[in-house]
Amino acid sequence: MRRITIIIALVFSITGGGKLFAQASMTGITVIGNKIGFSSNTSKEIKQIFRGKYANWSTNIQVIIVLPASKSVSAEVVATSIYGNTVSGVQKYWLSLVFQGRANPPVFLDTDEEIINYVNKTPGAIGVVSVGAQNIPRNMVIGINN
Amino acid sequence: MKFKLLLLFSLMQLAFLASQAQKPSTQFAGYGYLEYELDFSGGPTSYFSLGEHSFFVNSKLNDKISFLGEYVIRFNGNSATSFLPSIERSLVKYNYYKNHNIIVGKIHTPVNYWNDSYHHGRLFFPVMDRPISFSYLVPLHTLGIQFQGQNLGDLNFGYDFVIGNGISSTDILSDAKNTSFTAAVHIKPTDGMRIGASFYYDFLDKNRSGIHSGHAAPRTHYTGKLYTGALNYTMTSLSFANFNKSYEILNEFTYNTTSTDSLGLAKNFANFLYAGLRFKDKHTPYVVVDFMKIASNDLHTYPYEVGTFGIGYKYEFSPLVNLKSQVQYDRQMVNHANHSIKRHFGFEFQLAYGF
Repeated sequence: MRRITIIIALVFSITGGGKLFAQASMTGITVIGNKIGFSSNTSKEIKQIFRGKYANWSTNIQVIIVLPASKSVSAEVVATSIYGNTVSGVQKYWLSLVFQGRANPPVFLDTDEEIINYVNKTPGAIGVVSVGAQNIPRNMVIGINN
Repeated sequence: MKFKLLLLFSLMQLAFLASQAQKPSTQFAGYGYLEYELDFSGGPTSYFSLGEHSFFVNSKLNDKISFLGEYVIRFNGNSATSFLPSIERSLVKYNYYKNHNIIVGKIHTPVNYWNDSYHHGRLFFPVMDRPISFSYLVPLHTLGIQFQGQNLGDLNFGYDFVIGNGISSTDILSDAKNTSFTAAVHIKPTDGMRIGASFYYDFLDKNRSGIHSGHAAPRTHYTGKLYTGALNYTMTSLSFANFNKSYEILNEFTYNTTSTDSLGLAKNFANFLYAGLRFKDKHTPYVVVDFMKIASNDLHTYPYEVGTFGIGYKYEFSPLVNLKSQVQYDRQMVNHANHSIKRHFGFEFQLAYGF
């Protein structure tokens, strides 16, 4: 039994186990949401949400993920902070997940302003904008606890 | 009887919900590839080939129901235009509770990571082609009903249970009295990692291969009389995948049994291993080792041994275009008749793209 535990631990360490989102710190971004059932959450949970873990909120409203498009100025900081990856890595991640049929595609928008407007009008939407984004309704900002 | 009632209830519920559907939001995408091969096996030959092109539709019909379709056009020498279309996936998914879904339609049987992830998109393939077992053992498609759960708990546990037309059937008919059954589970303990196991069962009363199996193609390695009696078919699969920023590993293990009154239980194995090293986000040199052995008393796939070793390199121009090059050595032993061995050595380029 001890041998099996050691082997599993070895495989886990070799294969990068336990590194879930470890490289991504959530700086430089603001998370916003509309009727998503909470006003603050842990950074780990926020990252899971943006990776398509949930289909519905606790309120039974469908989760709609809103992200900056690849040409957007905030795409890189979002890719690093949320996904711990590059912009093209995030694109590949969603292309693959949608093609598998395991998630609905996110909404990609070009500017922070468009993301704020879309989330504001769409119950169940959760989006991410750069930290300096203007005109965010206060009730949309989601607090992040580390 | 209980199953039929459940199926009827599910279909009625889906029909009701579909009738409530709002304006759909639909996305289209396509995936295709081109190849060049230099083959040294029987004197060098060199040629380009146009690969299958997959057209992908994803439509959200309302908050709970979505549709997914994948339609493929591929080369077929029997067609007047040299190409034929096929429906590879066509399904309606109903998200009935949190991360739990009911799916009806034609699916890729979720027996392993590859069949559940890559489908017909060469853009997503880590290597040039599918594992060998996909041409002989893996029941690629099922037409039926699937119960699916995913991303449950901290380990992101997922399950798939499928009941549907089996190996002998077509997309419009199955004359078998029974259905096939698939049970698959997986966990995703870390980002990019997925560990899964599955079991598949089917009873083939006349040992026919329809269109849902990779082994529907003619058995070119076997020239004897085909067995047409009853056969029990099982397949157990174990998958390990870890794709991250630094390296990629995929191992698909397949254990298949067929049992007949004539020759008893035949045990067949296949294992596919891919390992790649990623650097600078775009470069991935890799190795691939693939092997399959069909037992001498097997009456479905028939005795066969085949192995492949390849070294390759993948370059990603963007998330929608990549170029793979691969040097590959194959060895096939047909051990039914005279133990003859065929060898193949080739060099290939593949340009895969999405649009």
